[in-house]
Amino acid sequence: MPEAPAIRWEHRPDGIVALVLDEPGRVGNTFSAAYRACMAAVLDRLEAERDHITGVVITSGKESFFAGPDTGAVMAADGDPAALTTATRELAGQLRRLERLGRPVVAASNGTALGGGLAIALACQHRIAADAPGIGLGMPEVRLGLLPAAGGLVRAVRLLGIARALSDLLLTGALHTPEQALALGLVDEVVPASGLADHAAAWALRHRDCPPQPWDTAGYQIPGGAPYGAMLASALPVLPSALRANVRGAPAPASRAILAAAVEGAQVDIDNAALIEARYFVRLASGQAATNLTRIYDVDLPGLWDGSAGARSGAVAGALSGPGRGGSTSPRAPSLAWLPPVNPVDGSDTRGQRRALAEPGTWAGSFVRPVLGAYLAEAAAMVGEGVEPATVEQAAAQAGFTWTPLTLADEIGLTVAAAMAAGALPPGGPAAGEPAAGDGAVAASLHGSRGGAVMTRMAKEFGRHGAGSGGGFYCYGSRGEQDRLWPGLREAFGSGSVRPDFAGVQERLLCSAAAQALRCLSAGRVPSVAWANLLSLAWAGFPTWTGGVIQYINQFPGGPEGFAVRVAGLAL
Amino acid sequence: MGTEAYIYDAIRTPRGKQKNGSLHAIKPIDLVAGLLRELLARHPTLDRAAIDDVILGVVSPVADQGGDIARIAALVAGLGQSVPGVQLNRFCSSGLEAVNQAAARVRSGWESLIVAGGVESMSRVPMMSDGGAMANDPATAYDTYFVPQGVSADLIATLEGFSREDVDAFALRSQRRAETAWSGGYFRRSVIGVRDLNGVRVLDRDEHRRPGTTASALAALPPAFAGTGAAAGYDAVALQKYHWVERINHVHTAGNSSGIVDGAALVLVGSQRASADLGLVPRARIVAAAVAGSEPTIMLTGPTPATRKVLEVAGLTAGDIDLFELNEAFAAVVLKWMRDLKLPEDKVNVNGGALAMGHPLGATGAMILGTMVDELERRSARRALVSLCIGGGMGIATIIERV
Ligand SMILES: CC(C)(COP(=O)(O)OP(=O)(O)OC[C@H]1O[C@@H](n2cnc3c(N)ncnc32)[C@H](O)[C@@H]1OP(=O)(O)O)[C@@H](O)C(=O)NCCC(=O)NCCS
Repeated sequence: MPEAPAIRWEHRPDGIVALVLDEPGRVGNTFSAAYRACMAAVLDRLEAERDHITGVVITSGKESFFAGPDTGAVMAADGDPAALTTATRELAGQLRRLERLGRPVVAASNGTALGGGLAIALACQHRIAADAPGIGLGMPEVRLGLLPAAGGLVRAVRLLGIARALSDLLLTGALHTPEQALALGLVDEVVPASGLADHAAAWALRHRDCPPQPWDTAGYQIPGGAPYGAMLASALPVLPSALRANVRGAPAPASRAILAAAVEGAQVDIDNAALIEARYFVRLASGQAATNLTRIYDVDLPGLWDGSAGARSGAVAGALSGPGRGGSTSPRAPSLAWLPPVNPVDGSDTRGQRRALAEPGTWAGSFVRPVLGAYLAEAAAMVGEGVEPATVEQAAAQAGFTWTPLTLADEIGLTVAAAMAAGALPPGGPAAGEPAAGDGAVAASLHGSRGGAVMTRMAKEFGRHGAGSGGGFYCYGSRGEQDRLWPGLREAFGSGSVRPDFAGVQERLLCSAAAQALRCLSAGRVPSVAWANLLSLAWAGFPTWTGGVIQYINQFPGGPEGFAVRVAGLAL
Repeated sequence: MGTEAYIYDAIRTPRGKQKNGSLHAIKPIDLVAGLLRELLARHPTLDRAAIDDVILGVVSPVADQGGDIARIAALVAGLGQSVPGVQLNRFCSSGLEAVNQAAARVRSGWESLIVAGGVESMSRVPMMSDGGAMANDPATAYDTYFVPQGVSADLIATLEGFSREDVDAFALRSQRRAETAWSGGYFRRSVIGVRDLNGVRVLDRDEHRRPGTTASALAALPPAFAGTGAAAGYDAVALQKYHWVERINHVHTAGNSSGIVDGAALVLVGSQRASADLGLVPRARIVAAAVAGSEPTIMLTGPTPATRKVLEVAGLTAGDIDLFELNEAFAAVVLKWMRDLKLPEDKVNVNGGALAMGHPLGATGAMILGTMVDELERRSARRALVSLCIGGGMGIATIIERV
């Protein structure tokens, strides 16, 4: 056993072995290299001393039970699928050994159990969660662009059935309170925190015969049926289409992989299912999107993500010292109070919150406003050029923007949107530290001015001011709900007269926002690269998969230089 | 150099409707065996041992119609153990694919007499019951933007600007032409009534038809695919690919979509030598056949490239064709084909189609080929072109010539 073990071994006189997950030097337990090495040793010993063991209780020495995947390891492993496959398979194999030890294994979850924590718990014969406020249980990997590995996805499917595992756990990444987890069937018991360990040991002592896992029992069937069973077969084609509709075509490699691994794994035995799960995991972990997403979470801001206490660590300070930190040394946190609590993962918000984006005069507004202004202007410019408005909206949605531009412009109001466009910084930008340009400032760029003109024309010439005043790019129903695109657009702008390459439309939208963000960064309107990335995602609705607006530029073909050339070519 | 391939006969069962249909209690194997026995009865000089193979299209080849039904039907019908059989599947075109493969094999000179056709008991084995990656494997369906064919048909109508009135008018036309054909006895030669195991008559006529259909009755039917298009996200999937379209106009209903029916059809395909040796009289020559791939999400636009291809293979133009027949999977599919190829309305689907009489998937291709053989003879016309749209984005086309 290693010197400072990630798992402590406590052999009680009644024959119960308590395994205490407590990796030294870490806030929470993860699937780290230390965990893996330690677990291997623990299993060897459990198997060797089995005759002297009546049962096993797994608990944690941290405040939380288990924090999830080791995102650092994931990021470090990119580029070598074979090594990552071996490591992932080893994690799953260890838990498979644990659940077939022949002794009752009880998970005593003292705190929040995320991802890997649930994966461990699901490999136990019995799961007990402590009842305390703030505890969350779930598999949030999807939000990191990953899927629950180590058999977590596979066992969730076998415990809950394909449909419920997907909707209640895997695809949403939802965290459940202990009570909710009990109702869902994720845990078997919820007990007061104080009696947790004894309760778990008592259960193990009462079940010395060690009931096999349901999926290791003869005649076991997945709840709700296997993919080609009568109940599921007709629903199967709906799963991918519903997902596509839900993400509006935006890149969703993690959700796609989760869906695939869940369904494909249900066609085979549990060990082969774990193999399929591992392969999809490796595919995700080797991809750029997961790297970008884990990086965002590493520079977390409080309140930025929807409430899951303990789920994420880090603070403003972390953000300011995050990776890719720019030259700025400003420690000043921007005033975020007015900003809407947008969840960048699912983009949920309300129309009122979207309007608030247009509020001038705040520190964050001086960054978010021009970035959005440039984005809206570019979209409006394309409508003015005769691109199908539906194509512009689809391009934005499928690029992964939180808000499609014509819808957002309508929500904000076209006159205000035009002013935002005019307030965007022109190429070359003002020198760093120069005060923000006012709304009446000289038009930002070629497209910026054309886009602004389109919106101004909509308002002035056609009396279409936006959603709040009888219609803008769209028509609205009696209750203010969006109906179809305004038919007058066709005549006014010759919609459909040009048919640009779809990827080109997406690139123009991405580059317009990114170029503007870069100008704002150089003008000192945002204190650091990390802040620019975060604000762009959370409040400018820039696509999450990019990892943020500056990260997008860094990953642009040819890097920042390639980006600059492209932006110049697009006259942004 | 191979020989020509001739059609010596083409027969079919009537089509039984899905709900309370007369053929629901008849096994698919009996639908085929009945037709095989009829072939032997009609051609007393036909030596059954001379039949090189039986090729049958089945689109959902599971359960009652699984497990190479062709060979087993040959045994059941008493063709003798020397007659083999094979089942194939090219989705909705399977029945015509079977004929085309038979023709190609005859033209190769390796074989001289093949029974080709298809069977589908849709009331027993529902569409899609054989699964398959296209719709049922999430990664595949996700990556290929799969939507069900009804949504695809509505997308065609949207892109082409076909209104509900347009597609309903076409459906009405199909019903009327089917009625004219039935009451005029145009199908008399090829529709073989189905009998039960005691020889008692079960069904003599296409049962799905609604001869009294009116424009207003059709107009009153609810869109069939709007609900699932919205609820299942299929519309969104289609629009993500067809990004310039704002929304899908759901014009297809139970009235202007092909009926779900049971039925079987057979075509006797052979070389010239077969006629010399067996005393068979050729009715038509198979001039050329072709298949083509097309965009899979909209799925049903393959007939146009397949038609162009088969005309090119045959060295003909549309003007050389007297009759055109495209399976009426959905009204918009035929309307688009007519528009693409500028086909005159009075030459297309002259005896109605699947909107009126139903589309028994695996059998349809052989059925409508037979309809054309009959109609060329009735009109003393020369050439007909038969086509079907196909799942997964394909099209098939065959040109035949009366001899
Ligand atoms: C469109 C579709 C979903 C309708 O299915 P359905 O509801 O079972 O259809 P039905 O034939 O039972 O018709 C439903 C109703 O429409 C009405 N109806 C249908 N055709 C009508 C007509 N011509 N005139 C008046 N009413 C009609 C009837 O009232 C019927 O109700 P009923 O049961 O009371 O008689 C189905 O026919 C379909 O999917 N067709 C396409 C098949 C296919 O995809 N094939 C492969 C092609 S690629």
